[in-house]
Amino acid sequence: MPKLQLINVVKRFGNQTVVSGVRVDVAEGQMLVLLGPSGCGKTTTLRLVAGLLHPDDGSILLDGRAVAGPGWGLPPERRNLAMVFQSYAVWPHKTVYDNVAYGLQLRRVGRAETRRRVQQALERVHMADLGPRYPSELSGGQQQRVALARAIVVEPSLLLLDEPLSNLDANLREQMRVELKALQRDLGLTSIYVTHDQAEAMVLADHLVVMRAGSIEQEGTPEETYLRPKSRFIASFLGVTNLVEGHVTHLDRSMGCLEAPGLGPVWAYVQDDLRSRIVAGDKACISVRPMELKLSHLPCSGDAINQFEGRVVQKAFLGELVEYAVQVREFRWRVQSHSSQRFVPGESVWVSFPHRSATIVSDA
Amino acid sequence: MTTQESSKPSGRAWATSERDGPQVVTRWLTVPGMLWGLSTGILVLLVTLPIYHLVVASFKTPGGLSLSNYTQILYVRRFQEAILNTVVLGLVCASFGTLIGALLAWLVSRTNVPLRGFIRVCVMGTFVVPAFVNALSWVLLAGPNAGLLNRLWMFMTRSGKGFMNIYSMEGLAIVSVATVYPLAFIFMYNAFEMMDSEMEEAARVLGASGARTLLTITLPLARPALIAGFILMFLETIILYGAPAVIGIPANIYVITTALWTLFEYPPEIGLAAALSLPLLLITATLLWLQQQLIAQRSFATVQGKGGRWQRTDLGRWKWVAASVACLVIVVTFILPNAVLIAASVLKQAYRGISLPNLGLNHYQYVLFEYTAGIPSVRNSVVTSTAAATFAVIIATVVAFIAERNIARFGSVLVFLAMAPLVIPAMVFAVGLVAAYSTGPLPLYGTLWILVLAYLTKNLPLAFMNCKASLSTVHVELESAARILGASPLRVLKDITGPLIKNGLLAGWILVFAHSLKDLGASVLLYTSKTTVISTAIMDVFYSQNWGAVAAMSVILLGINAAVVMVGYRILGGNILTGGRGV
Repeated sequence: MPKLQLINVVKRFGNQTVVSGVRVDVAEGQMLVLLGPSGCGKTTTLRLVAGLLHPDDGSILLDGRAVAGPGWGLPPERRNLAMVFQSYAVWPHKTVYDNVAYGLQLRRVGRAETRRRVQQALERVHMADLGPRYPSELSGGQQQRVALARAIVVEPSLLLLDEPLSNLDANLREQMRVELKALQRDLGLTSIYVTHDQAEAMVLADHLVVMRAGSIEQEGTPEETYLRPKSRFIASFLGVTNLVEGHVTHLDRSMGCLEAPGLGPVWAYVQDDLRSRIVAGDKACISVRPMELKLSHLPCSGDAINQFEGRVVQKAFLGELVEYAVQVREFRWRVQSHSSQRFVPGESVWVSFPHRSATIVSDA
Repeated sequence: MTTQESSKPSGRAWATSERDGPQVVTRWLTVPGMLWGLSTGILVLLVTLPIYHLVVASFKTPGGLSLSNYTQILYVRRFQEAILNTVVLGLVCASFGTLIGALLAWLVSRTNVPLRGFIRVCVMGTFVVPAFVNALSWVLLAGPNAGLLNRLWMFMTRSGKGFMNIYSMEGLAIVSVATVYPLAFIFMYNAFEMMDSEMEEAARVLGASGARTLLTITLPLARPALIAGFILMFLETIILYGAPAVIGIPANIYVITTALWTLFEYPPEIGLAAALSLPLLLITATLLWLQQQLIAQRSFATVQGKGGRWQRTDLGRWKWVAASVACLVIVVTFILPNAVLIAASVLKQAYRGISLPNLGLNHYQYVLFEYTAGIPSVRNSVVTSTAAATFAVIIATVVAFIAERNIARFGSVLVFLAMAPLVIPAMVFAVGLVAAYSTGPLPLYGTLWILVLAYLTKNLPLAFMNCKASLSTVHVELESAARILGASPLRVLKDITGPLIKNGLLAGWILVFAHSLKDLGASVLLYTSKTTVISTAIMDVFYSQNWGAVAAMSVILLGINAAVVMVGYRILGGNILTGGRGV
């Protein structure tokens, strides 16, 4: 049985529907990441799970028991959850120790046991020595660690994280990302993590759910979602990509062909559910990640069906990678290749990629 | 899957964030719903009922409803004079008050004038002194023959007459200006603080002189604030009661507020008083609205810019001249009057000057142990002010909570009712209270309750603004975090929200207490011999010309007020002095 189930959950504010029929399961011990641009309903979904809001329709099941349904819900204090907020929400009038101990006091845990568990939680977040400090004496990163310790110390049945790292600076964010993932995995905490940062989502998610305009656009593992996007929106939201627009000319069991104006035919993988929805002549797109493209001085002889001759027009050194812009007739490809391979602007090159590296996506 | 039937009607999550839009209570039989109902009921009783009775009373005549009260007000000569005097006094004080306030504010906030801190603290200090006490001190200073300054003048010039008579229109204007200009100072100070000096620097870089920059950049930028300050000064002056009562009445110069008071002499003429009050209410409401419009204007937005980064204008050789002018204002309006007052309270014989054998506490002994109204008035003042402050903070907290946390529909109605007393002059409100509570189901007139109602309602906006401000600093997520960890709403209030807004509430309490203690205008219409308070007792000894007792009681009043404000200052810092108006 899934730890948490959201069944066709709907939430409206006035006459605006913010969450429209979200259906998702979270398995025990899993970290589910809700990813989407701002205003897509991901935070509202999280607050519905928390019990800070109640759904207008649908139901929410925790451990198989309904905790919310149309127009009602258990209050948050009766759901045994913990939540980490974007604003840290560390109580400024309590010491670090008292912040972490508060949830245990509410659960009437004994004094010695409280002391032991608080200390353990603080050690987990590397804050063991800072118990007597007040939040105003801590940095943002330290405050977020306190918030995390406060959440894990109560051993919640579900940990909710609302963009917890977005107020930290870039370096700290990346470090905390890794720590957070390790902590969640070690403790086996079932978690829901809300973010608008796709890189963060990739690192953290066991299961990635991309939301758009109140509903789920695509879900799956980060790899699947990244490499096999279903829509143009997902393809571009999850990172840099080459999007070729055109009309479908041919559909096979796992392969399709698009006629792109100003470029010619392009072959790509087509997913089952998309194949059932489109027919030859429809508008569609092909998404190819810059890393999947190969540059060479001579045409390839291998399995790469897609080959185009063009000219290098720009080169940008990114460290391990070099990014090239290659003009092929009216289309400009973005290609990333390892620094060992050298091309110079103005040079004539071949761009090639096998059909499996590219995916046909819906035009929306 | 079975749903838990028992949990269905559970209370709504009241801790929501603005990001998610308002979470509205739709059912009334909930805790927030009942709180809303209760606070609306109380506010209607407090604010709407007296105003309703005021309007009804103004039309009531022995022969039924008519406009005759209004026609009397318009055609009786002494009311005509009072209205004219009010307008003249208002315009004069607004002009000079704005001028002095703006000048001091500019010096202190934007120039390198010496003694800036001292000047600021002294101007702030005037807020502790009730307006009528200030006027009493001025009589001690500039009374026709006995006034200290006049005697000094007679001694030095050997003339038989003093150089100024405080009992005149000029005297009234001077004392009124001295009473109201600190408000203009605060208002302009805030405006200047917000102004980015880069605008002035830009002018200097382009070659403008200091004076030219002041005239072409600073003043035009500050113009909306100056006009708004002028309106504020005018408003404060026309509702002033202390100076007109102490100085105007002996000189036979009446303004609207003192004319109102005369209508309460036996037999009281509530109808006329109401008819005289309503136009005053309309004027203050309109002017305050106008003032708000001015502040909200786009041009003012420049003044309200980012602030913070600025450099002081160097006054060069002129800085000592400027400091002297500022200090003269301070000495004349703050130091001298209060010094004279304190001196008069400890001198056995006022005319014999300061010498050791002439010093004594006999006036204090008199007001505390011999004067029958002495101790009771102090007790009544403390009791009513404490009650008013406590109730005001409780009501303000509930309303602020509902408004700030969106926990009930129509929160804005509550906010409107809580802020409405801002435009109602205290005396006008007192007339309404008399009309509402002298007869009928709640005959509160003659009890301390009516004083509590007046103080509480008049100062509710102050308490509300304070509570709202301190509540808005508590991020909703601080509360949500506790809810999710297992705390019930009441537990959150006790463990999280309560401790975090405690200081803000205390500040609100102190403000309401201090303002209640200072009040004379409302008290003078509402007190009876059994419910006299310090301010009305001081006026009683003033009418019997017992100056030692006047001084001693005034010092006691100042002492209580200053002590409470000091406690607040220790806890909260400078804002407490200005009545939450900033600086």
